[in-house]
Amino acid sequence: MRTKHQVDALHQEMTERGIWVFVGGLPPASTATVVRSNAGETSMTDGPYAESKEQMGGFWVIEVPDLDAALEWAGKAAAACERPIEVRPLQG
Amino acid sequence: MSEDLAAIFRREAGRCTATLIRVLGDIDLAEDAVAEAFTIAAERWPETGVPPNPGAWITTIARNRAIDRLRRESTRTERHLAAHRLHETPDMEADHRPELRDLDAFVDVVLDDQLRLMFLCCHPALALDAQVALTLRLLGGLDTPELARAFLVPEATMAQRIVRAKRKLRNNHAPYRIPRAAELPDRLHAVLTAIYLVFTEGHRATSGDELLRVDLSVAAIRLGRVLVELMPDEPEAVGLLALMLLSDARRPARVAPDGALVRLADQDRSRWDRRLIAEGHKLVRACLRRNQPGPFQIQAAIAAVHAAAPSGETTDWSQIVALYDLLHAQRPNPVVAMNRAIAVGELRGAPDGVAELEAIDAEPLADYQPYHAARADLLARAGRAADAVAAYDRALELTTNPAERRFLADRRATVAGE
Repeated sequence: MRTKHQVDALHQEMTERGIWVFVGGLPPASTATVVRSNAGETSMTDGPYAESKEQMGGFWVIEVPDLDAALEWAGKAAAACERPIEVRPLQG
Repeated sequence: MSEDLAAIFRREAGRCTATLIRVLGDIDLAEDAVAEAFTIAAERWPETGVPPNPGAWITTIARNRAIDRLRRESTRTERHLAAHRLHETPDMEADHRPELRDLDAFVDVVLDDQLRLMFLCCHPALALDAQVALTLRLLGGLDTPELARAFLVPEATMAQRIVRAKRKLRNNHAPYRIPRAAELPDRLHAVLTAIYLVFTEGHRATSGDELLRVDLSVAAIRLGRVLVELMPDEPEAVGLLALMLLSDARRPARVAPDGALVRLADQDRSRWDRRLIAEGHKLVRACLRRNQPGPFQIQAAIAAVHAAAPSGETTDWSQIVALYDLLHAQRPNPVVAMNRAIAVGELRGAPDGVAELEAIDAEPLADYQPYHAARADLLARAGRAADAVAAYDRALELTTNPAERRFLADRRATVAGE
């Protein structure tokens, strides 16, 4: 509950600052299905693509001028959701 | 002439590259342009003589050549845009011919650019080894083969480290700027740490590429001087330079003629470089007057106390213990605690030193060679020969450096009564 309030406040701040693009929370990895395409054949398997202890729990898409700004927001996000944040640029 | 050019390259390439990165917005383009300008210099300078301000000359030629090339290759949209940007820079038109340009005004801008480049190379998004490689390559004027030899890695590994680092900075749109006041202390500490790592790497005596190693220390001190020049009000930058100068002063006495390592206590202090010590002491005094102690200043002060002692026995160990206390209060870590314990061993005797050492949580130090070497020495002096031999064995397992191996093996044999 505490983290929910913190994350809500962060979204508010992101919106006000005009950097918020998109946010998505993800249910546990056990809900995942992996779909593969091999020579025109589609196959499906239950479970996440890679079994690992760490799973992605959600993501933000933000629009900022440079890496340092992104890292600063990532710091706020890590504090709000109380989890580590991986920062990746979007291509282009 | 060719030797002059090599020296000029080491000294000037960093600041030229720094400015070209700002102008061109791309590290690789900037490096290519600077290399091309130095090729032109190698052809022209033997006839015309070295210009009064070679750095500004190189920068101007490099920029003009880069503009020309971008125009020629402007079919590629990206580069066309870059060329377009160049035209919009207000101070561009007047200086198409370097002779017409007020070169001094240009150099002012360059100073700031070097600082930008230091912060870019030591960006916290890069791993420390990548920060160090990039700093030395872009600011230190060392090429990839030299870096590979200096850090004892294959050339391909070093090349890939540099390519990856540049790609990460480019893909992430790392900004080319001096960090804001709020982030400056952390970002500056990263720069200082990278420079100090270069220095310690160069300071470590090894058998193989001894000369290149010395080059690393020289490069680190040069970068340290540039940083002090650019940020004269940052006492930690001054502290780092003082620390490096005071440590470097001991270099002539650190290795015996047969290549063996000589401990601080056993060094012939008449061989210490008095000129470097005097400069280091002056900087430490300047730091003390500011009274904003930070980790590099405190380490410099410790080095200054050593440098001021005429012999190992007359060292003011109580002051050194006090300085380690201060350092540990600022940056608590097991290595500082270890060095403090060694100082306590000198001040109050080896048994007290052993007690202090054993009070430290040794787990993070399990694979740290200097811990086992220091522990072995203290145990030996405290009369615990069997424990000392075991500690020497562990230290030897962790030592790759031949000079250090020989030193430890000799000590072990003495303690074991062999």
